[in-house]
Amino acid sequence: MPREIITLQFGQCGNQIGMEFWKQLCMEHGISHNGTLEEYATEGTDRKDVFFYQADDDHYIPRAVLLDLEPRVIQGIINSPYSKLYNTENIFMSKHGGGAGNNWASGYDQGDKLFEDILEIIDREAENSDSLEGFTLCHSIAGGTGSGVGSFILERLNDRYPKKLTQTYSVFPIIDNDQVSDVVVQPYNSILTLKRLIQNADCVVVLDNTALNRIAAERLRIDSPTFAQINQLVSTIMSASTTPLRYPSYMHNDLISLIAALIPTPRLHFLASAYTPLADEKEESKVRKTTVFDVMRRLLQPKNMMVSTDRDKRINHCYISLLNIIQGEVDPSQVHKSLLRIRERKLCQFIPWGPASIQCFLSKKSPYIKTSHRVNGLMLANHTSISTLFQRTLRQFEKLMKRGAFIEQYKQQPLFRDNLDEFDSAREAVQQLIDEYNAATRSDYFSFSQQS
Amino acid sequence: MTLVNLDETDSISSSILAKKRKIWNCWNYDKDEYVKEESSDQDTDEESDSDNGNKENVEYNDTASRLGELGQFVVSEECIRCDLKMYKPTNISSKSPNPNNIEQLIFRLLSKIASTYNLNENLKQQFFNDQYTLVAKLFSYDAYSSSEDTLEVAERIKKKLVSQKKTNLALTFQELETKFIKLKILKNHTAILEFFLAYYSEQNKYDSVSNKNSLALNSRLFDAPKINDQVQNNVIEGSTSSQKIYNLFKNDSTADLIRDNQRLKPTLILNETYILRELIYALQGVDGKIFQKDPKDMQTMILKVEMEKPVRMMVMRYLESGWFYGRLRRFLATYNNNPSAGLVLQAFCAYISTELKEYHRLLAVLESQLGDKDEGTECSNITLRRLSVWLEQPLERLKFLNIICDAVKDKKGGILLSTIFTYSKYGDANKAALVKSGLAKCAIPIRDMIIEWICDGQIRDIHEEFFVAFNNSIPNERLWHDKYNLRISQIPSFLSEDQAKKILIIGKSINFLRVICNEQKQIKAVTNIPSIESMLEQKTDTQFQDLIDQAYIDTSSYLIEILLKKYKLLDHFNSLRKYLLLGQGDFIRHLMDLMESELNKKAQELMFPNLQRLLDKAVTETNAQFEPSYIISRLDVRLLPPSPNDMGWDVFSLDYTMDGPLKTVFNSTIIQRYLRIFNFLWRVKRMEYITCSLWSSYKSDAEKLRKMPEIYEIIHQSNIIRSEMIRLVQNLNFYIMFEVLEVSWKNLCEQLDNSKDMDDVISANEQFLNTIITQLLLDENSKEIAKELRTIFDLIVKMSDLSEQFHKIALSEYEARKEFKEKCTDDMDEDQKTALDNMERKRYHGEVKPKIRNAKHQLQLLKNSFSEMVKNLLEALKNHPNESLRFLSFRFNFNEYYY
Repeated sequence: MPREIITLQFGQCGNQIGMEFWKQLCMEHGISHNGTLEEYATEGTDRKDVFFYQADDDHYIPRAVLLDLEPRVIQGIINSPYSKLYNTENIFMSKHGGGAGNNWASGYDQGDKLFEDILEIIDREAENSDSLEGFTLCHSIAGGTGSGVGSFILERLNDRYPKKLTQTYSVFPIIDNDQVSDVVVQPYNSILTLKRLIQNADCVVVLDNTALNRIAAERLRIDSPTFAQINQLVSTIMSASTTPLRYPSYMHNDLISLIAALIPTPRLHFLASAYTPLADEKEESKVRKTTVFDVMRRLLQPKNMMVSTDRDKRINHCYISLLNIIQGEVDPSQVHKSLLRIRERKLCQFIPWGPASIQCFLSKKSPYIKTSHRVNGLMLANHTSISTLFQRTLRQFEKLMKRGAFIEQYKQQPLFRDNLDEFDSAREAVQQLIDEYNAATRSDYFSFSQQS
Repeated sequence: MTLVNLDETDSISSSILAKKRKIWNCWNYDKDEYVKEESSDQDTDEESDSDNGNKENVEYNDTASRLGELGQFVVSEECIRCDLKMYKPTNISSKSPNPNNIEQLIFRLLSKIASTYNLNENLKQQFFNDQYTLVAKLFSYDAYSSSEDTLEVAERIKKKLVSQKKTNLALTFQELETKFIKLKILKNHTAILEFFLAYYSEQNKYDSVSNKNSLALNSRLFDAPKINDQVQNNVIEGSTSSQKIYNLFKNDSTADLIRDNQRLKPTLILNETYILRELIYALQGVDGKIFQKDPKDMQTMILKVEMEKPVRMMVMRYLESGWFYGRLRRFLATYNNNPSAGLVLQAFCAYISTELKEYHRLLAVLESQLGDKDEGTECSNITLRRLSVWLEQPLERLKFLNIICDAVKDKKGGILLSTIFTYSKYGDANKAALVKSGLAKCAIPIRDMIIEWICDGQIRDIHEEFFVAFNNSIPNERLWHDKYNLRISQIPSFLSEDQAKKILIIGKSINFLRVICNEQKQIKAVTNIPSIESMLEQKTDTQFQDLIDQAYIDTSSYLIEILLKKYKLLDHFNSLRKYLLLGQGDFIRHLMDLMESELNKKAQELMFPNLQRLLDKAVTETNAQFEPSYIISRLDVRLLPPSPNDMGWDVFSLDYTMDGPLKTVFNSTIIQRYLRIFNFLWRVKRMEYITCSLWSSYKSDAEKLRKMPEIYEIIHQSNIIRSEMIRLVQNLNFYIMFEVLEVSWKNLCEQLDNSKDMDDVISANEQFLNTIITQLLLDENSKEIAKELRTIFDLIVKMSDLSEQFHKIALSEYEARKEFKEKCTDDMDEDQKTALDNMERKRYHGEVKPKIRNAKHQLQLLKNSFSEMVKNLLEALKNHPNESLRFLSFRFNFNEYYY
């Protein structure tokens, strides 16, 4: 079965969203929580083999590697109804179970030490597939394990599987100046991870916790959303963005064709996402028919974006590329009209240095899930304003760095034992990314060259 | 006095009663020699007398009308009284009246009557004229003989007088009558009374009849047929108006009374029965004494006896019927039992025959009315004049049938029916009914053919009359398309074209099921054969229409069901979409992965078995392996005929083999078109494949190449060009998928869903392909644009090569620099360092920099020509007649980058 994708879920956050993701996939493909195919799903023409493989007894098993340095979340998975779904050999827990202590450097170092074991699992999974397309990493960039181990593995995967795609679903922490987050060293971890995401990942779907919480609070009308609810949102986006791969059609049957069109130059690979309908829109859809145009218009609204960006009046931020994946009963001839209306109303701004347009992919929908809404849509967008998120992270990082706060615990780790150059290097990489994103708003981006 | 008078009248009457109307001899006055001879025979041969007598009736009729017009004179009660009282017989003693004296007697009678009026000479002549005719006519009546009861006749006279409020006169008559009875001097008392009664009544009757007649003559609808030249002229003149006859008569009467009298007298005193009898023969085309066939053409009847014009004209009119009859007989002789005549024509002949039987029956009735002369029962109500009433309808019928015969001769089948059908639209209800009854009989063979065709799919049509034609030389594969066709001209005009098409499809479906699908099941026998009327009168009777509709629905839906269930038509449509239209993208993608190296070879070097092996591999490694074998076993590789310089990519094609009924829906032309679409889609997919591989191949090197800004600049630029290309291809793909394939597929599914018959299925498929071919720039209109697109594709391939070359340069430069850095160790002295540095600089500036400059230049060229080509393409698309293609231009230039 070609074009398989191996999912790596690292750390507490990675495993939580990973678990939700697999739940969602099982539902969509009619796979029970122990991996057997539900009776109603035997006739399906969907491609389960992208994310699952079949064991000798025909059970579907996720192509997933679960790793955490502390056992709590994985233990939870093992005790859940889905315990039998996973290949236990792919579940990796640190023997000492001490975790990374929210320290990127610790995670990175442990990644180094555990690399052989982890690689063995990954290699086995890769060999298990006919023609591996790539890896999907689920993690948070702010903690210790997901960010640290994740960073290390990203670097190594790049060497070991240079032609394979590495896509990540990276959860960005809440950056709020007024609110002291539970992890004070978040900015350090974030910048250090970002460097790897910039240099070693091919595509990063940015899941901004700030935006996720805002959306959950505003759109779902929940005052303080739980992790589970946030993760539910994330898994929805993950599963929706993979529908073209799982329901084959004329196009977008592989990750590369999705990514290649969204990402023009290697570094500008941070994608924002939006999803509709959420709670209040569900109510609205009872009143009238949801049209393609409605879905597309909503997806373009900033309030539905799962990334919180700032407005910068000096820079004319714009879309580099934009892909809508719309599921449900949609008349394909409506797309045409919607595009005309969007351009007529100038609902979105595009780059001046190359052709760009809204691509609207109409995907099949799982027949096994009954939803109240007729049509739903996911947007994956490459928008230059995502640089403001990095800018914000960088500002916090620099604030912390200036004070030299909490730097000691990093110095204890091998990478920083001699010097703190890695911080500079990471900061520089992030700055370069911000610069390039800003450059991409200008028409001379063609002759852009990085000053290094 | 009166008695004598009466006695004289009595003698006249007795001659009538004896039924030996020797009035014939009065014709001696006629100048015609021939007639004189005939009349001289008369004394010995009475039969021929009466036969010849009929002849003059034509003119007699006209004369009568003439009388009506001129006659101011009314026989009044005074007249009768005068007659009775004052008429003075000149020859009282004459007991056995000499026939030659009859006219003298009449003259005498008339002069007596005339003398009761004070008439001047002119009027007197006129009076004689009129009254003579009348009286002569009254004498020629047979009717008097029937009544034997004197009292009854007397009573009728009284009643008549009373009814006209002439009571006094009635009383006078009563007295006179009583006297006569007492005296018993009259031999033919009853007859005399009857004569006077008739004379009185006739006077009134002629007035009205003559008016009617002139009207009838004026309003004649049809020109008289050609009988012979002479007659034709007469008839035509006569037919134009009665005026002509009137004039002739008038001239005669005013010019010379005596001559006129002499001329008229013999024509009027005819033995009508004789003429009638002869006429009846002539009406059947049998030669008689008066009428005989013209030896020249054996068709027209010519008169062997010269007659007075009015009589002759009347007779001639009747002869029309005979002439028409003869034509019909000859028509039948030509076509009836003629094996080359079609069934419909045969049916038409049969119909004509029955019509002629009707005619025969009529003539038989007429003849019997004339009575049997041998038995001496010749007494008839039929006169030449009355004959017109009898013959008017039949004449019209015969004439009309002749017109139809002329129209249909040498025609057959549906054309013949259509021809007849046009006559059924006649405004004259009688004629329309006549045609309809004929049509009903003629249409039976075609109706039966229709029934046989829609029940059994059989055609028995040796004369090629049926509107469904078949060609046995057509191979089964083309059975549906070519074997059966409509003969448009043979569709009877009472059937709509839609019905004809349905009928064609019904039988075709039956044959298709039987021959191609091997389905022997009888679909549904027609239980009630629809009435002919329901076929002809579809507005009022839906039986035929219902039968056709029902049979159409039954057969077509059964055929569709067989195609869907037994032959899995939809599955095949679906797999064509999946494999030939690349709908199963994961399979296609994998096939491309597997075949890439093979297809990069030159077309001539391709190994067919290798490709088949790779196809099998692709099937087993993807979800295609779960396809049922009746689908997947049909999937094959086909290599298109290569042109020089063609790569494997250009000639490779998937193929899908069809058989049985499927081959009718998907014949080789249709599959060819699918392959053309495949070829285009495959090419576009390959562009996507190339650009995506370009993206992923060098992605891992990007970070290290970044460290050489002057080189990375070019890589960055090539990335942007690549991205432009990717977007073009992606836009094209989005367009192909959502504007073209998905929309057309949706329409196809809807159309297939609504397909009522096989033709609908075929046309749905054709429409599906047409739309796709147009929208994918594969038709004639878009040849130029397609070329531009090909050029763009070539540029993409070129870009791929260029990138590959440059990446090699960049990577080797990276390695060279790395090597240089490794050489530059700290323990080297300054000179060594400088030397190394110079060497390095020399190497870079000498070898690498020109390469970079060259690459940069080439890239710029490529970018420019790509931009230009895209702009051309957009321009061409913007003005394309097809709306979706215009929209493609909008899609390509969504952010108005190009202009």
